[in-house]
Amino acid sequence: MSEQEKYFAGLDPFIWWIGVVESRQDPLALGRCQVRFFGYSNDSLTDIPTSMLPWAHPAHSLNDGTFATPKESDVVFGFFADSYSRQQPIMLGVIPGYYTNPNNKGAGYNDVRDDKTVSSAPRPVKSRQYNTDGTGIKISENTNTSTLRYPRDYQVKNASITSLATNQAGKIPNNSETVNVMIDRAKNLDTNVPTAAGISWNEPASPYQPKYPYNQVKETESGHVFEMDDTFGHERVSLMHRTGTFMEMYPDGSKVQKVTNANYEIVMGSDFVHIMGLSNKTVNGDLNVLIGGQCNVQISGTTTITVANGDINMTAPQGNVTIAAGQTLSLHGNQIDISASTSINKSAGSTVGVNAPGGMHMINGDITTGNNLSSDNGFSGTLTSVTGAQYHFVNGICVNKST
Amino acid sequence: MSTQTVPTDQINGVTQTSDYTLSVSLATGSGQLQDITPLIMKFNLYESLFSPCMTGEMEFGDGLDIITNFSLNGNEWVYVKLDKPSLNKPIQKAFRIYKISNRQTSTQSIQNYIIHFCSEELILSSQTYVRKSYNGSVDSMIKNILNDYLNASSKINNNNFIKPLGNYSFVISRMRPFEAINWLATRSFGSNENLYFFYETADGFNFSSFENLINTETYTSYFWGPNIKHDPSTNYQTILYFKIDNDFDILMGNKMGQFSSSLYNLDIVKRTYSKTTWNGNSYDESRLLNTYLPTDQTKNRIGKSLFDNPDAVAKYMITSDADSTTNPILPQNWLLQNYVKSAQLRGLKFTIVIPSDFQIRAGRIVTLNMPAGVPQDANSSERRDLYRTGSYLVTAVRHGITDQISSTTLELLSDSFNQPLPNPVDNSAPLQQLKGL
Repeated sequence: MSEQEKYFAGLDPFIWWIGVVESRQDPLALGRCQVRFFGYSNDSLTDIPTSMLPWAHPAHSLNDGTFATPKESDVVFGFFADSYSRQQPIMLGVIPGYYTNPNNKGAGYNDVRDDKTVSSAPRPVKSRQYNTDGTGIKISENTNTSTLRYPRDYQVKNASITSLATNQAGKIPNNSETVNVMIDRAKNLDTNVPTAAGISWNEPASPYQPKYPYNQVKETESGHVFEMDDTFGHERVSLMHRTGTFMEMYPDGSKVQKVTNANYEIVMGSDFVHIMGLSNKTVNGDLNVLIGGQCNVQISGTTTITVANGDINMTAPQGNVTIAAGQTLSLHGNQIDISASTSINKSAGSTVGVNAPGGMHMINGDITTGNNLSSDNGFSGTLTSVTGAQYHFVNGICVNKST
Repeated sequence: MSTQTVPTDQINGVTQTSDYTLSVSLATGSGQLQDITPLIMKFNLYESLFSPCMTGEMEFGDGLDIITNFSLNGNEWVYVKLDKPSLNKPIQKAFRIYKISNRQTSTQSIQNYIIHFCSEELILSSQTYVRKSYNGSVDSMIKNILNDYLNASSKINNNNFIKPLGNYSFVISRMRPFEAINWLATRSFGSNENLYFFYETADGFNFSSFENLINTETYTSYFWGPNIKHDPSTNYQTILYFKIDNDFDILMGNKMGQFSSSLYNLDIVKRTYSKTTWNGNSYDESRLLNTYLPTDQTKNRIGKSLFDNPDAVAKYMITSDADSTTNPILPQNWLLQNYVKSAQLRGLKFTIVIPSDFQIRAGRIVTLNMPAGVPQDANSSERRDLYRTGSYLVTAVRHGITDQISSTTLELLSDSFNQPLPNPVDNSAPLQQLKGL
């Protein structure tokens, strides 16, 4: 190395390293990690405490805007920006491998986090209880910090990359520390969902059957998963929360979305939904619909509303209620009560027929007609007023009045 | 050569300059102790500001075949005692043998060879790496390394082990102990100090700055010339031989940053890119061995003096000094300053041979009276080089014994002249004409 190259970054020797992340609690929040270098360091936590390790600066991908840090025990590699001095490491990537040995927090090159740090760190789901009574899923988590350092017991002898990428998910049995979400999903499919049409349907099972190396997976420490699976015949896109809430697109383009707890959807603009096939909606509990503006419902076919238990209440306190039928408007009931605050007006293109074997009673007020009652009207009988006066009609002609 | 006192004519208790006493004992791997002084034909002992350890060599004319008889293999020790008769201020120190070279027979029963030896710490340093974190001042880190890896705490010369500025945090990542110490020394700086040396003398391990050394008392003055009278009291000050190794070298000075330099710094945390410059003319005279830099302000054809070209040496360092969790020594504080001073110090380099003086140490300041071809002082007939006569730093010492005559060879460096150079005349007609050619 010439004198001109000495102390000149880029011209001085490129010195690279491989090391193990021992801390990612960067006080500057830049994604830096404290790394213990193989060869350049040793595993003595006395000689070099983790807190003294240099902060390795991350080199993100060109697709900037993403943020992810390696986790403790990850094997990373990079170079020293200050060459021989070896005080300015830059991280370039993570090197995957198999977890051969269990964690040994007493030595460097391990996950040596203290209990306090581990207790506030992400952890996987230990169990899921799928409740179908509308209360949502219940999960439990491992609180034993001694088993939460990496590699966790169930990871030893396994690859450091997610098992979801290698089709191990269905093959690795559940263990005391975590349960596989794909197994839980398969066990807790929603089946025989009734519909108003009288048919029922089932939640489709996931076509999850990835073939290495075609499933591109991001699985986080607590168990969130994003998959873009290119496996031939099983192409899927899946976004899944650790509790089991997921949205998955199937090879045929179907989409299954399951929310394991409450679901909220807020649209601050307009909402357009076009369903080209049929639509079934089954609500086990109540359904409340509040419409701030007008409501327009156009139905091409027969519409059936069945209220199995309870009443139907329709009110328009500020407006009219118009019920119109192109054919017959039928109102059926044990009793039909029609009341109006002011008047009730009836009109018919031809006649109004009343067939009331028990009689028709005017409780109060007068009867006025715009025309003479005539035989054409065919009315025969007695009109009785509340004063007791009776008017006897025969073929529309009042033939007698008695009091 | 035996343990001996070369006959002397003692005058007023002062020995003749070439007198010496030498005793060398060999401790073999089997536990034997053998006086090998009589077999030694030549003996050299070195110390240098640029070397962490003392070294030496002995040339043998060996009719006893001690290599075979004592199964020499590099695990042996030699105990050296070097003194002047009657002074009783010896250099005495144990060394490890590490090499035999030039082994050949001169007669059927005599072998000639050279045995090389060094302080054991040099061997220990070559057998281990420092992989450890350190907190605190640089001098404490160096002491810790000496203790942890070389078990040499007892050899620290606390009278000459100074504390630079600041407390820092480092992880030394796989460096030899002396490599790590040198790395730390290079980055050390004080309020008025920029060039630190870690070195071993017969007094032990030293850590000092150039500025600290030049403020110590001048050890002695040396004279050269046929008119030096034979006076035993001044014989030690007689230059027996001298050689000018380096005088001015503008090209080398530019290359090494003797005149001006720049540092580009990228802070990857703050994302700042800055440039600092350092001018070799910036040091005040209190930080020079003498008073005047051996280069003037003459401007070149594009109007710049030697001190106006910061890109003569351009360095570029990546740092992250915004990080409160670490406390590195920032290159802005040491790099250019160290470079410039190192280059300046190599501007004038002399080698002189004086009568053996086992008291002088690397790191001492001496006055050198340089001869000149003709008198340069109108008031004196003394032929002295008025510029180059002055204070020098002893950067290396070799005590040599050859053919029963001892001498001491000194490497002397200086950064400055004792006299100012004449004011430059840039606009003289001949000069302008020449520049235009």
